[in-house]
Amino acid sequence: MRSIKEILFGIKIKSMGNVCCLLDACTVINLIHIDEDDFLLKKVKSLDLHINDTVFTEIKLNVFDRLSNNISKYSDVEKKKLIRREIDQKISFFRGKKNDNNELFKDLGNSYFDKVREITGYAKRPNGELCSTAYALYLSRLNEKKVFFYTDDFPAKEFFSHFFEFQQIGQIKDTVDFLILVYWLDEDFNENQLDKILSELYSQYAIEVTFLKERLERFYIEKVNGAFLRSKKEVVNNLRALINNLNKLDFHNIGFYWGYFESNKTKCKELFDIVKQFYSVFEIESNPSSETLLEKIKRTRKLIKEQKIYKWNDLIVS
Amino acid sequence: MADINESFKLRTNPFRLTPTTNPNELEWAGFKEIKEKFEKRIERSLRIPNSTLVLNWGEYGSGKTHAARYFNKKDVLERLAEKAVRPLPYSMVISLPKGKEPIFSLYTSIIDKLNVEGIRVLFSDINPRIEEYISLISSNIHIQNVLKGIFNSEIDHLDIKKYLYGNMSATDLKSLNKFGILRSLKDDTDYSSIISGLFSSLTFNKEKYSCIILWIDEFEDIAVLNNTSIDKTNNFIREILDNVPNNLLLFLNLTQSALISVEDLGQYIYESVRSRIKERISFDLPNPEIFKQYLTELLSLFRDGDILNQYFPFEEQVIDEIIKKQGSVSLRQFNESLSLLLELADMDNKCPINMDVYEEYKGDIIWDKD
Repeated sequence: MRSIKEILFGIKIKSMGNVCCLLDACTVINLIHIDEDDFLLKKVKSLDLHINDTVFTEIKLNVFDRLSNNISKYSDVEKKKLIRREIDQKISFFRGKKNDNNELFKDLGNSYFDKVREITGYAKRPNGELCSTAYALYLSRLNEKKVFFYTDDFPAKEFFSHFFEFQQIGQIKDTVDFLILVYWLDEDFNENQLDKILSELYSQYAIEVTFLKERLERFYIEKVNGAFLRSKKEVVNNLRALINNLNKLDFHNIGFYWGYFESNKTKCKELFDIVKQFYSVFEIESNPSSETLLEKIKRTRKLIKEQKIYKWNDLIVS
Repeated sequence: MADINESFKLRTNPFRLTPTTNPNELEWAGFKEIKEKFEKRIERSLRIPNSTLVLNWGEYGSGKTHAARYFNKKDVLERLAEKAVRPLPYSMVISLPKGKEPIFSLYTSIIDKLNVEGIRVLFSDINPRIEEYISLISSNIHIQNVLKGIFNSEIDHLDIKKYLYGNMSATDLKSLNKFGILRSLKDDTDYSSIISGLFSSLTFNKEKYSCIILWIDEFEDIAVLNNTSIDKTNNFIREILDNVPNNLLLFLNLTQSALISVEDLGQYIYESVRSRIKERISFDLPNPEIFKQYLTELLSLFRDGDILNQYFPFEEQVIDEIIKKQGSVSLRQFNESLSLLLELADMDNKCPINMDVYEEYKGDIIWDKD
């Protein structure tokens, strides 16, 4: 005979699908890289997960970018093949969570994304974040549910938050929030495992920041001499400022530098080639009043050691 | 363009920051106290048997990497060995790996620098004694046999290198079976045992090498590793210090950064490692006198021809102004400004570099990091 706890536990498992989670490319890529032995994958299987078609294309395009950071340069070919195969398997799981935008257009018309772009006043061309926002609106109205859109892209979060709130779609959260959700939903996910995963997430971003800084400093040391300075003074000033900000972990307005080096790539292609390899760093952008994702991970790790995040079983008097 | 040699009386730009690939171009200027601290530390380690862990601590661009490269130069070490009346140390500089396999990467960096052929020639006269010694330093027969294999000329040097890298196929491995090497190296315990055994063997009785000097540069990058890699790195350092109790001098170069502050240190460098630190060498931001002393020495090392003042091609007033304008800055930033000033003046044929020249370029050469 099952105990009340087991019965209740059973009910809770079924109710995990009540949280509608829409994932952005950066969040999925993070989940793929921080997961070991499919630990997270097994945990999120029972969640109501969604990924927009366009976002999935972005995931496929960018998921291997961090491979060189995460495995030793000395690893042999076989090992690299094995890691690629593991990533492919994880992508297959997330493929099962994506929609088909063509089907969406059948219901809502081909210009649906453009329509949302117009309503929100989004200036960039349709990308994963815009399509996800439009898809979130669709999901919330179709299922009559609040949707949680998980993204680490700070500028996108800043831009679309008002739309999510005003339209009562739900909320925009980040990978840290998603991991905590998975943690409290699963009785077998303990605090040490959560801390380990958060440390891995921190490492993913911190390594990107460190590598970008190293590459830019190397460029500065090797290429910036008197002649370079004279012919490309503005490039040098922006390069110096970007290195300086990365040194201080100051991500305020960091997206400006991406924009600058992209629009001036004819002046210095080599610099944009470096910058574009580390696109995730430019998503950590923050404003002076909010914490960066790196700060949030650090604070959360400290906090979960001091304060409990209650799970169902913690509430039941044993 | 002015001729840097003709007008500035310099062989080349002394402030160019490009890491030199030719160790002969590496010079030490000024900073006498820090230099003496390293010389004393190294000399002491060449003489005494005990292993030592030293933490080199300072801001970005304060000269830690330069110190590692300078004291890794053969002629510098030869001088110190001569003074200590001991054989040359076996020295290497490696950077802390940032991937998920820090121990394998550290191990591979050390194996990369291992010249098996050279070692075999050097140790040929004491080979039987080395074999005996190896049997004593490890209880693991497999590790013993691998270590003996490094010194054993019967095994092709490329085969043993291939084996150490883990690149040997199962079929090729059979050729090593007769030497008692029956399996591949597979985990961090194997890697750290090989490193420890190798270090102990190379410094056996201080006969061929008096000491192993290992510089781990960019140690601050431990702050970007995940928990597991931080554990592994700390354990590796603790293990090699425990398993190589003699003749190892380990320098950790640590830069204070936004990712790793003094308060965070305990989180990344565990007590088990910190308690083993015997000495801390601090690279403080230099004051104006130290800067100027450094500058005159550096210029004299690159001098080519007769000059009128010790700061030539700069006028002393320019140097004072740059120091005043920049405030408290790292050596790297000071070098950057002087390098650009020299190059811009060179392009415009301006010599000497007086206050008028400085005023013209100051907006380009002073980089305000705040």
